[in-house]
Amino acid sequence: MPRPRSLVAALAVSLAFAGACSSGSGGAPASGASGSTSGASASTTLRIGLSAESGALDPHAFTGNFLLLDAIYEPLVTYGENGRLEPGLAESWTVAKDGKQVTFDLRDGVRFTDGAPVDAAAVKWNFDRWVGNERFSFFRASKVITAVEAPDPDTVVLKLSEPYEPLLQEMSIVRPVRLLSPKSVAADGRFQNAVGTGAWKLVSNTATGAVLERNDGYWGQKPRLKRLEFKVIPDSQARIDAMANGELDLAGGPYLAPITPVEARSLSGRDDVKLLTGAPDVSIMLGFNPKGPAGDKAVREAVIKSIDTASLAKALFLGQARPARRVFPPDVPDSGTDLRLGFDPAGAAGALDAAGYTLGGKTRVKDGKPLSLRLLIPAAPAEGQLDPRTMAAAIAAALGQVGIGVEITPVDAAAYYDERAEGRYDITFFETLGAPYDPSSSIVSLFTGDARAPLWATPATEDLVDKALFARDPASRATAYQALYDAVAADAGFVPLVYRPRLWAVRGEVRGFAVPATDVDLDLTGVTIG
Amino acid sequence: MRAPGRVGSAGRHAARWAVDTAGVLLALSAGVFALVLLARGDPAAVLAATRAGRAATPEQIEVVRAELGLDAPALVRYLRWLAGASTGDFGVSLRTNTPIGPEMADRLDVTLRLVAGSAVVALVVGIATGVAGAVLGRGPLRGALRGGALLAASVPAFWLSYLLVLVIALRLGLAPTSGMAGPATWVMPVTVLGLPAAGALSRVVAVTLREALDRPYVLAARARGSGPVSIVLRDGLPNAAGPILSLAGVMVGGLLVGTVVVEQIFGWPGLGAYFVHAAAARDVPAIQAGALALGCGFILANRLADVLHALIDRRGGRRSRLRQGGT
Repeated sequence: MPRPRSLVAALAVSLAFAGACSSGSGGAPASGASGSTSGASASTTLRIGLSAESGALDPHAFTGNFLLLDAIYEPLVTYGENGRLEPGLAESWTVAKDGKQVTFDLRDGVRFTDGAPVDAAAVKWNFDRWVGNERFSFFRASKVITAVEAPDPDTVVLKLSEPYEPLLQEMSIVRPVRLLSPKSVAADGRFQNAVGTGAWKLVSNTATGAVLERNDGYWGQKPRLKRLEFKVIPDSQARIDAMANGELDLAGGPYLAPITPVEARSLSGRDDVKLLTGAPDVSIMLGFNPKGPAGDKAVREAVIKSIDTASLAKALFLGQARPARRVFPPDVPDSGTDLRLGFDPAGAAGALDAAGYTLGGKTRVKDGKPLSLRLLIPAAPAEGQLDPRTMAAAIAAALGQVGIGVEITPVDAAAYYDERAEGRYDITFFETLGAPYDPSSSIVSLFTGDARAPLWATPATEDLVDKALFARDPASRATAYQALYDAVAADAGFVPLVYRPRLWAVRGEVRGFAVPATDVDLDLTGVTIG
Repeated sequence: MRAPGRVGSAGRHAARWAVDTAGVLLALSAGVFALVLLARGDPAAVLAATRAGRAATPEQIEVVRAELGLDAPALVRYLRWLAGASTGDFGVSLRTNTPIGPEMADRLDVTLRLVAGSAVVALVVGIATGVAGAVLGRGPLRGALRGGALLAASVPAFWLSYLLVLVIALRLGLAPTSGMAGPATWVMPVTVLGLPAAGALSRVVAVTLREALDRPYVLAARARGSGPVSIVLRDGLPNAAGPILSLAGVMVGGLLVGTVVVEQIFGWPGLGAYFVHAAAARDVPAIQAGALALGCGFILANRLADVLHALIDRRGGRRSRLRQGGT
C-alpha cells in the first residue's frame, strides 16, 4: 500500500509550501485568505470539523459520533474535571449499604425536546433497551443490573447482582447510557429521531455534516451560541487547511477532528488560530508477549532501559507529549505514583550480558539464536490514534543500540487487533481507554487473562484487578490500584512511553472554549465568537 | 424480410451482452467475497470493538458474530447475500447500521457528478490540446504541450490536490478548501480528477490526428482548398475518433477509481469514500455492494465506448465507400 507513505510525502511538501507562503507574507498581521470570513460582527454559529460522518445518532446503537451524542443526550451522572462525578439528570443518588442497590432522585421539571417528561418511566424505558440484552453484554453494567424499578415518577432504583463500584462512573459514559425520548422510536422500537434533553437539538444530519441548534428549553445553563455546524472533512491535512483558511472555528480531539503534533505545529505559528492542549487522559505503552523471547525478564528489563521516552516525546510529538511514568496519566483517578523507570543503556547491556546474551556483530545471540523481536504495528493509524510508524522506527533504533534486533511488522488496522489478540508479536503498542472509562475499564482489558489482548496478565495481576474493582472504600481502592501497578512493574511487564497529547485548535475569534474534560464530551456553554 | 432479421440479431446481441455482463458481475462479487474472507481482520471483532469503544472479549465477539449471521459457512453467507442483492436488497451496513441500498444511492449521485464533471474537463482540455499538438509544427510550443500532457498524466492526485488547495484556496482565497457547495467547490476536485485523463487523451488525440492529417485524402482536401479548421473537424477528428473512444471507455473506469482519493481529500460524500470506510471496517455487505456498483460503472462505460466505436466505424465505412465512389 503506497498511499500512506505518499501522503506523508505530500504532507511534507505541503508543509514546506505553507512555510514558504507564510514566510513570504512576512510581518503582515494576518494572511489574506482569512480576510473573507472575519468581520466585526459577532457570529452565533460555530463551525466545527468532523473527521467522519456521524451516522445514526441512536444512543442505544454504536454508530453515532460520541461528541454529537453528548451534545444531544444527557446521562444521569456526568463526568467532571479529574474524574469527579457530578449530578446530571439525577439530582442525587444513594448507594445501599450492601452495595447492591442504587437509588437515583431525578431532576424535577426536565423535558425532552419533544415535550415528553423525563420521569422514572422514561428512564426505565431507556434502561430496558439495553440492560440484560445480549447485544450489550460487553458493557459490564448491563450484566450486573438485575432490575430497574420506578417506584414513583421522581425515583429510579437499580438492583445489582453484586456490589459494583464502577457502576456510577459507567452511568456517565455516552452509549448506551444516555437518555433518549421514548417518543422518538417507531412502534416496532426502531430509532427514528434524535431527541434528548441536552443543551443542543438536532436540525439535520447528513453525510456532509450535521447541524445542531440551541435547546431554548434547556434546564441547565444555556449556550450563548445559537447554532453548531459540523462539517465532514475526512482528510486530516484538508481539515488543517480549512482551519487555516477560516472555514472552521474548531477542530481537535481524537473522536471529532484529530490533529497530529506536526499539524499542530503548522497551525501554532498563525495569529488567527489558537492551539490548546488538555491534560492527557491516555497513555501509550509498549507491551510484551511472554510466549517468545520477551518471556525472559532480562530481555524485558533491557527493553525498558533502552528506550529514552523523554527523547521520544520531544522528537516525535514535538514536545507536545510528556514521557510516561505510570499506567495512567496522573490526572486519571487512582493512577498511583510514578514508577521507578529510567533511560539506562548501560544497565540494559548489563542485564543482557548477565542473562547470557552475547554481543557478536550487531545483534546479541544466546544458545546460537539471535535476539530479535517482532514489533507489530497497524499500517495506518486507527481513528483517533497517532501514526505508530515513526515511533516504531525510533524504538527499533533504540533497541538496536543495545544489540536487540527488531523486525517491524505493519499490518492493516483491522487485522492489527486480531494479530495482537492471537499473540502474533513479541512487542506491540497498547493504549489505555481514556476518560470516562478509566481506570476501571482499562485495568480489566490490560491486566486480566479474560481480556482479548491483555498487556500483562498473571494470576497475581488478576487478583489485584478484582481487589481494585470491588474495593469498598476509596482508601483501600487506591491501595489496591497501587499494588497492581507495583506488581506489573516488578515483572517488568510493560514500558510506559508517553501520555498522548490532547490537541485542539480554535480560531482567534472564538472565546471561552476550554479543552473538554473527556474526549467524548463537547461542552460549549460559555463559548462566543467575535 | 431483412428488417425482422436485423431486429432478431440485435436482440440476440443484447441478450448475449446481458448474459456476459451478469457473468462478469457474478465473478466480481464472488472474487470480492473471497478476498474479504482471505483478508485478516474479523468484521465481528471490529464491530464488537466499535460497540464497546475498546477491544472486545471473545464472548462479545461471538455474540456479534451470531447476530450478523457470520457464524454460517462462507458459501451459505455468499448465497444469502446473492439472493438479497438480486432483489435489490444489499443488507444493512455493519458500520452505520443503515440499509446499504439507499445509502449507496445518495452517494452514487455525488460520484456520478464528480465523474461527469471530470470527464468534461478531460475531453475539453484533452481534445483541445491534442488538436493543437497535432496541428502545430515542430517547435517549443508543441514541445511544451507534449511535456505538459505527460506531466498531467503522471502527477499523483493527492499531490495535485494539496497543491491546488494551497494556491486556489489558501493563497488566492477563490474557493473553500473542501466540501461540495457552490460551483467554486467543483473546480479543484474536477481538475484533480480530470487533468491526468486529459493528459493521456491529449497524447492519443495528437498522435492519431497527426496520422490522419498525413493521409492522402487530407492532402486532396487541402488541394481542393478546404481550410485548416474544416480539415481537422471534417476529415481529421472523425478518423481519430475510434482510438479516442476506446481510451474514453477505459478513462471513465479510471475516473471512478480516482474518486476514492479525491472524495477523501475534498470531503465529497461519494461512493469512493464510502468504499474506503467500508473496507477499513471490514463492512462486508457494504464492500460487496460497493464493488458491484463500481464494477457496473466500469463495464457500462466500456460497453458504451464499444457501441459508440461501432457506430462511428459504420459511418466511417460508409464514408470511405462514398469517397471511393467519388474518385
